[in-house]
Amino acid sequence: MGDQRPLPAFSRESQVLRLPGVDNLEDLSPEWAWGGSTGAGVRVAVIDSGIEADHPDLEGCVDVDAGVHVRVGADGDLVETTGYHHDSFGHGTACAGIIHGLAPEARLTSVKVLGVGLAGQAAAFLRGLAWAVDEGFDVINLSLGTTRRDWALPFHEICDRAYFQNAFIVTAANNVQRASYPSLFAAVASVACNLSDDPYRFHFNPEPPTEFLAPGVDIEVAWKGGGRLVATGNSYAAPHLAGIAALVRSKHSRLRPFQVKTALWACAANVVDARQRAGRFGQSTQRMTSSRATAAFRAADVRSPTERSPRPDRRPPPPPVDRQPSDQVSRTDPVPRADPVPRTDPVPRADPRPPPPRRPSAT
Amino acid sequence: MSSSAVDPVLYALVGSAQETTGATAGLLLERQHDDLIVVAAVGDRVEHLRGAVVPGDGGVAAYVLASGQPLALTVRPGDPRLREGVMALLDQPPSAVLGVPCASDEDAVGALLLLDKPAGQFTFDDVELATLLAGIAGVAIVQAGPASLQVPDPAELASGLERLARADPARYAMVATIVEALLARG
Repeated sequence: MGDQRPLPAFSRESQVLRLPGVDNLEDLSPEWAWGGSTGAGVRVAVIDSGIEADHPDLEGCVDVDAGVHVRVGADGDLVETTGYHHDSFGHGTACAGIIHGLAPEARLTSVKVLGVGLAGQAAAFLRGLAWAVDEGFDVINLSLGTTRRDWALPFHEICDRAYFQNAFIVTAANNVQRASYPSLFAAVASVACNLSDDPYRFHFNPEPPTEFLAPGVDIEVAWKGGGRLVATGNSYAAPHLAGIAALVRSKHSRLRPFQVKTALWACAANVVDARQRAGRFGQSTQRMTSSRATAAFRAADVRSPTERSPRPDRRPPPPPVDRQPSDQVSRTDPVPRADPVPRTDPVPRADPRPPPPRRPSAT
Repeated sequence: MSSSAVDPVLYALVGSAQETTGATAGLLLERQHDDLIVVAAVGDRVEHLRGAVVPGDGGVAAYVLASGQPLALTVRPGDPRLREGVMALLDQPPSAVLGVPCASDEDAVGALLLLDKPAGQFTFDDVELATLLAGIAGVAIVQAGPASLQVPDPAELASGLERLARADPARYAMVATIVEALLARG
């Protein structure tokens, strides 16, 4: 029978798949993941209160004409308006500014679901998210959520659809101990705050559903009216991870969402630190087994958003010695890292951008 | 018809939030359709705002209510960018604002705003504390009934109808009689 043998649906022969320059999970370094990337070619949807597109911090990165405003009409039906709209609150502009600061060549699109009318927001939110998924955005930032359980299932379905349609959704976890959707779903990357002031320093949280921790405390953000202010909340942690995800997707355009999430896990500061600590104890010539790596990062400095730690945040030790042939970028290049943002206000804005752009490499 | 009396529970909650976080003033806004109405105001600079109605499509309180997410902001004193919503009614914009939603069950019914913290910026501890108190305020708002501030006292309603009945007996007398009968029945 040979090739004619019937197989269950979706069955097929496996193929050897290999990421360039990656023989082992240890090779998933920040340098591999986003070194040299600027976010070019990536489209990011910011589902929020709108974006002030002419804000000087955004430097024209917003595709104004592509934006959409979803609201509940007087008759209760959802109304979609494409094109220009303003930011009703400033929150969407803040998120956009963070993403642009990390991925300066990514194109941003505003999906406004907050701002007109205080009822029916969950319906507008869901419709806006579905629109972004259908439009094929590479990264979708959700610094909002709904606590209404009756909306959980529709959001679950949309997020699963996004996952299989190759959209990487980043959501902010609720700021308080309360269920919020879609941040509880596995198909998204849910983010709360760490206490770092380095925009590239994020952590893996081994206690899901919040899987990542990124800067969100005392963050200087763009705000409507052309200025900036200092804000605190998980809302500002999510766009940090979204910006880094945009860098990863720009450099490695073929990665699926679960691979992006895996790369982010491998590049999380506490996971990287754990490898390096293991290396300092004489294991640098051995590859960590997965169990050893797991034990190491569990012991690393993961903190809950409400825990306090001394500032400034700890920096990782120097990069490990390169044991693999370089793929597209040199391992000896430092990981792109911004100067820390001073804690007091007013502050000069940190430039969280990577070094001069290089052409992103295809995977 | 005048508004109902000050709700002591809401005032106590706002006062507690103000004192424990170190804010100089606190406001509690209740959602009424697409507007927000100030139902409690604690602190010298905001006391006069009780009863004020502001649109629900701008400002920190509206964002907090629409998104269900707390918001802590710090700006330089005098920054005009916080002159939206109820902030536009203040003599001077605040230098720091903490807004948290008043959630009842699964829905946000109002927003608690705390203004200016002389000791510095609002912290996560402030967010958690304010959220706890705002949650209680949300329950209190719901128990008081929708649009609690504008629903007249039943006795006031009857009195008003009596006045109208005297002014236009043919039009209002029957209505006043029915209302009085209903009130008498309890």
